[in-house]
Amino acid sequence: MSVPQRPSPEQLSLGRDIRTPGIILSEGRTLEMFLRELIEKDLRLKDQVEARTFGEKEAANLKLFLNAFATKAEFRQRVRRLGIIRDAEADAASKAFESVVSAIEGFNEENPSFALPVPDRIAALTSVQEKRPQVGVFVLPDCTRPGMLETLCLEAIEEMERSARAKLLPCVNEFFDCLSKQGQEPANTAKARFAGYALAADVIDPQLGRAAQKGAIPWQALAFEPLKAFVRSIAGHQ
Amino acid sequence: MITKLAIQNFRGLKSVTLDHLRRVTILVGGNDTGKTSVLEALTLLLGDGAALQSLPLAFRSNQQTGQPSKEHLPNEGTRDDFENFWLWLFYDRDLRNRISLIASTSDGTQVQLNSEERSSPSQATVLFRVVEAGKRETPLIIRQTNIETIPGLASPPNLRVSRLSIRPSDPVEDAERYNQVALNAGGELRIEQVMREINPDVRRLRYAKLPGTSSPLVFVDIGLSRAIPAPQMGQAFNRLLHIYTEILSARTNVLLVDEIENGIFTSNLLPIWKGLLAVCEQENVQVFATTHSLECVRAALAAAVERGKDELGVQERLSQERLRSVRRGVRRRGTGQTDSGTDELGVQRMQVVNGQIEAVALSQETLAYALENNLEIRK
Repeated sequence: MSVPQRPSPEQLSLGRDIRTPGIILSEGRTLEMFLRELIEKDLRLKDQVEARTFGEKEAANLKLFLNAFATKAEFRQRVRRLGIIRDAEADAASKAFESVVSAIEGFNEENPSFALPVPDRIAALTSVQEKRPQVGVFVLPDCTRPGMLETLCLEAIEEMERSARAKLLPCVNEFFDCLSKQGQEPANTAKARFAGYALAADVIDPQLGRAAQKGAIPWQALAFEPLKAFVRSIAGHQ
Repeated sequence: MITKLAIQNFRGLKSVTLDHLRRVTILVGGNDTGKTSVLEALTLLLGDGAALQSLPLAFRSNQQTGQPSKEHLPNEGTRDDFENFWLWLFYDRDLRNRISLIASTSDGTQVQLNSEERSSPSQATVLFRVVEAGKRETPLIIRQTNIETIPGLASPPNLRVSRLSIRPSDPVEDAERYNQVALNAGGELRIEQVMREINPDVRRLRYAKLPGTSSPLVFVDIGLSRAIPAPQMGQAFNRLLHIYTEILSARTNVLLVDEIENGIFTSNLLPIWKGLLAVCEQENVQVFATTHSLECVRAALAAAVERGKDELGVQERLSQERLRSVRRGVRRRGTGQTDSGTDELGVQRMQVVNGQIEAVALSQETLAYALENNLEIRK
């Protein structure tokens, strides 16, 4: 007897009913989980905006996801604002932005009757058009620098620890500095440092998405403000 | 080949554009989303006089009759068809809603059909067709209580349309058509070649009437001591024989099939699609087919991607693993140009958004991606 396979995050994203006028498509499951926590627990906007993942980073993924998702009748009927959030990684934010724009343009080529507006600036929604959703793109950590979600979270943690009695992040940094002196560099410094912090903070699960679910993210940090402003705009709250 | 079809004010379709049409286009969608209307639009746009006259019965079974009674002229329809079919070609049954059908083709030409109200001499609404710039022909005149089709009307050049019946074919008629095709130069070989898509053991096909029997049949030599009558060869074989002889005998360019999966067992869908795609490529035929069956779409996709490699067994159903390999295959073929126009299969999903019907084009790659992720592609 075969064991039924668990649906992938992409399958869940494509299959879930669309109930909100704002939709955010995120790169990867971790970012999706993080955004869901932010939307539900901190911003309390779950009736206005929902996060889904378009899959892991792969050039064709976003365009394919849009082909399948943004042509659905319920998307065309309900969605008024579409946000796309991805990491800058090692590149400048502008390069990640261009890659998203290129995916949207690819979608428009294949679907001329349902073309999405193409944003010309990072973090700004396109203007309101009849029968078309507004579209915006946000590149982590802050739409300018290289980095990723973990970079932003570590900055938020650092900001909050400035006024805290217990400071864990310097210990984590010291730990990685020590490893570095031994010639041991993590493949992804930001991810490794965040995992180190999560373990130090006794969150148990060092994966950022699940750490967010366990309450390890200081949502009140100012570092999150640009991201929160973007999410609010997709929810329809300027 | 038709690459784009724009439809306005036709039946339930207020304004719909079908982009990126392929050699084989499968129309999917819920009930009453206009799939059959697209086939009717193509018949009206491309059909000859006979095709237009039989349009009420072509895809719908709710008409009393397509034959005019004694008091009608041969090229007039019945009052029943007039009231219950022809007037309903117009959106909201209102003749003032001007029908516009425009097919754009890969060679840059267009075929158009438009309706026009004429106040004189007899308050008629005329459907006129424009095939070449400035040259109009009138396939259909709608008067106050009847319609008139033009018997001598021909299909536009290289766009001869025919319709495939969903009913089981008559083996004797298939045999006669086979005989007609086989007499053409190379005809036998072409049919045998495509029938091997269904059964690689096929050596020869023969038209024959056995002594003591009343009707001719096609007989199939598969290496046994005697050739087998085609009706004994199974449904997929006979279905494809019917399709192929129909295409060749009618010299069809555009084939319309409503509910293509009808009466075909699931495991036969794949070989039928493989055969159909082979025929279409070989004879340069474009197919528009409707279906409600997801298995039918999966089989068509697998056939389109893997045709010729002979990797799939006839009984194999598409698994998730298979879909992933199909998707990889699509990417390989597309070399990154996922919608390059080389894909021979496309799906058009008819859907209702805010009360209006629209058509969404799904390329082979998008289709594979959607199926791999268990997305319901039909709505």
